[in-house]
Amino acid sequence: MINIHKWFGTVHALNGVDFTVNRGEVVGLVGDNGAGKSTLIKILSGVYPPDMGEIYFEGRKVRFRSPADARKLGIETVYQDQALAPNLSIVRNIFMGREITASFGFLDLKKMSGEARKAIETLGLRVRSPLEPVAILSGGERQGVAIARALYFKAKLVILDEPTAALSIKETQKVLDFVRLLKKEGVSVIFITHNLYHVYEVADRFVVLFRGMKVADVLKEQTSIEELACYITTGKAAA
Amino acid sequence: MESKRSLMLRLPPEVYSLIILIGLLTIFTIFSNYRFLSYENLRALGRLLPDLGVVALGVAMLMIAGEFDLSISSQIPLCSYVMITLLKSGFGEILSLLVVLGVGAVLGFINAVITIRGRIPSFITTLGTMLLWRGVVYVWSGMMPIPLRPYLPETSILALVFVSEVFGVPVQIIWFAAVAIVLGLILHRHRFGNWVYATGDNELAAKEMGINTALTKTICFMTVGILAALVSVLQLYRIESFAATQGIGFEFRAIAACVIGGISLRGGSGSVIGAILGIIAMQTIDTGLILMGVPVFGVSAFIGIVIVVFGLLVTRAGRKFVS
Amino acid sequence: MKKRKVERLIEEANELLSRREALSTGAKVALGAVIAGLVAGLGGYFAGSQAAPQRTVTVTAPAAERTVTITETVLSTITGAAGKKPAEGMYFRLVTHGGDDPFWAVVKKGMIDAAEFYGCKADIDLCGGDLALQQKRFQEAVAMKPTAIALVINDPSWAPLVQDALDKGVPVFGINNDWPGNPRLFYIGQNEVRAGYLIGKRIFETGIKKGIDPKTAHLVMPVEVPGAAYGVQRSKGILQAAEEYGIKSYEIMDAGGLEMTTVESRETAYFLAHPETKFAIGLGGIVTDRLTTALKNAGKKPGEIIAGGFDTTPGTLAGLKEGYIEATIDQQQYLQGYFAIVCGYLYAWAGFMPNIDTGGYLVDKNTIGIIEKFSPLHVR
Repeated sequence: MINIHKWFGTVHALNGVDFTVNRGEVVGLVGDNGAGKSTLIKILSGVYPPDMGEIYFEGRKVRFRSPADARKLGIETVYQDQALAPNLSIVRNIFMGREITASFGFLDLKKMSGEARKAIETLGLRVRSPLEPVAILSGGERQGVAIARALYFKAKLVILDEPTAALSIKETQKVLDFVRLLKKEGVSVIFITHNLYHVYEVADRFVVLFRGMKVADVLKEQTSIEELACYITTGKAAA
Repeated sequence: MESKRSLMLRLPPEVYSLIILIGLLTIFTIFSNYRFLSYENLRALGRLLPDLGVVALGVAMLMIAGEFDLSISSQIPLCSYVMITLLKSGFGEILSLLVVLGVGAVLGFINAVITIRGRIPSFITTLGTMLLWRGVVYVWSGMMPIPLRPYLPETSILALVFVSEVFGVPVQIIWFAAVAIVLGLILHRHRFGNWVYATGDNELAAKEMGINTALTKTICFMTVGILAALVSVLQLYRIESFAATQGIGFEFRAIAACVIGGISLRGGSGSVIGAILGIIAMQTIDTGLILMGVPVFGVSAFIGIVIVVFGLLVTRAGRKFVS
Repeated sequence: MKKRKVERLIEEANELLSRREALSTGAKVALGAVIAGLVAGLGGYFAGSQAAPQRTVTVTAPAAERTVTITETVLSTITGAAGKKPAEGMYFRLVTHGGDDPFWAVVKKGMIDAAEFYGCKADIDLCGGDLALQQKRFQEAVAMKPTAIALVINDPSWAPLVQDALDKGVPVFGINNDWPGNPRLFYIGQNEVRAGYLIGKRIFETGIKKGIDPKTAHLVMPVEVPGAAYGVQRSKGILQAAEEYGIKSYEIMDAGGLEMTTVESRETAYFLAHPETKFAIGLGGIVTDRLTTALKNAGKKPGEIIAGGFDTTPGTLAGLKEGYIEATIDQQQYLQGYFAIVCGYLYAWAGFMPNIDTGGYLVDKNTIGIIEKFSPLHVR
């Protein structure tokens, strides 16, 4: 993403942000509330168009008119509340909007069930049956289902929006394991969070946004949590 | 290390509906000296249950998608009036029927458009359209009942199709079964059904995954409208007259039937089987009580109690099942 | 891929609208209400323009408080000096509790016909059972100082209001319903108790002749709204007759409201549950209408149970012809509207105070012909 600008009314939400993610890389996108993280990834996943700037994916310039366009290219987003439907089964969630159908649009439940099982097992998730409603899963397991879904549909870039918020320590570790697995599969990940400690474990690189501008873009080796925290809160390197 | 949950709590609410319904029916049967199971009673049930039942099935699907339609109680007399007016003006039965079904679809579409585009809760929208359509019917018809007979052709096809018996089984219940099967297949076995559930359960997620929730809801509203039109014709042919009081109270009875059948008011859960159970319960409670010889003045109070109890148990079960 | 295109169009349109956050929901609802009112008004206009030429009639729809104005300006039938109508320049107002009921459509027709015949203006308020609303309308009517007001007196609380109107010089007389102790000038309407007595007598008479034993016979009286005045008064009359014939066993049955299916299913269940029932008299129009089908549902043959009731709705007329219904009462409510105008005129002209019983016309197989002739004209 090059020179992205976005206005909401008179609020300059994103001010000339350049953002790159490389293949198989885990990038931690951090910043305080209102810094513009959500807006940036929403643009990347096709929810909003940028007011200025361009997006290139795998070397080609792209323009998204809707999330469906982004998804077609392999960009999947996992939002905190907007990923799964709790009353629906795991199978139906995984294939939401992309159901496997037999003739006339009728569901091929057997095939879907089998594929769902495979998808979950790739992530190491253990469930009694993929027909169970998602609601009985723990928070971390639910994130797992959403990530498994992205993986199954051959996502090239998975954007995780606050995946560890409101999760217990144990559950958080599960999610971080999923992220490591994604990396192993060669999928790029953008990990958005407030929680530096969580993302620090798994990220390769960090991008810090401050009031709509990018103030830092550093590899993990070149920085520390304290320095990142400083960027987040003041927008500047440590004094 | 799975948390231990007893099997009891993990049953879907429909099971509770079924158990309670069977219990009720058993009580009715025994205490009515088996009159409840008499051919006359079952036949009467078969004829009358589908009045609410057919449209309630549509309401069930709409509720699963997360919306309400209160206007069915006015759509029914309106469509009935259109039907009889068309027949009076000399149009053929089949043509009139198709037009009326179209009118129903349009009414449903209007509900959908106002709700979705206007971002108004469907409860409010359909409350408004309910009052609007009923007002229109009253003014147009002058509230006079209109007999049907004079306007039917010699051999009425629709009378055969809507008000007859097949080997002693009233054809209305066959219609109900047909609608139930079709809607059931679509809701539970078709990709559109998945969209309906997703839209009702978590609309944001559904949208995220590329499901056109607006279209999904619109189709559900239109389905309700078409089914209401179908009911209006069923009623018209059975009662053999248009009455401006048709459909009064259906809006809440349909919703109540769905709720006691395990369909959540918040959307996203429920099943056609549950709806069927709820419908049977709603339509048999008062007659069952009367057949038992309960003094008829107490019947309404009883119905209220049964509905509340039913609703409580089933909703509780629903909550426990999910979480 | 036409479907995709439509989907996308709808999506795009939705997105467009999602950006226009200008209109608040409140404004939209208000707009919707205005549109609703307009459509209802237009609908009413077209309905009115199809009916026979009418005088200005204001109908207040029940509870929802929407005033649907059916306006049809009549090209003046009064031309100059010759052929002047007697009640010209007079204005009468009927304040009623009626509404969701074909009954009142006929009352209104009677009023309209009489007003045209006599050359005066008349309005009718239909307050849908809402007493508070009806009283409000009454006050408004009094303030308009009409030639006279015809009021449905359905509650003791009317007495002071009527007295007040009389003191202000506005004549008030009662129609359709009366209350003892009310200072109204005179009353035009059906005597509900007497009507009940008439139908009861006829039903029981027929039954006894057929050999039914009054001591064991059971009478059921279905009613749409238990406790409502009409039902209570009619049942009083019926029970008077029952006593005369020695019939002791009876039940007033809650038929569950105005909705046809509920009424039909409850009546059917009742007949199945109480085989000792020999007499069935509906206390209202809808319950009587459904009796025939309920009897058929319960497997009864015509005449097995002597049935009757009130009003001449299509189901009841069909039942009369098929022999399930023995007789029904035509309330002749057309006359209530008609005589409201005529008597109003007579009082205004020469101070007459007629008390007229408009009701209690027994319709059976023999007299059905005239009913059928006039029913489509909304006269009977």
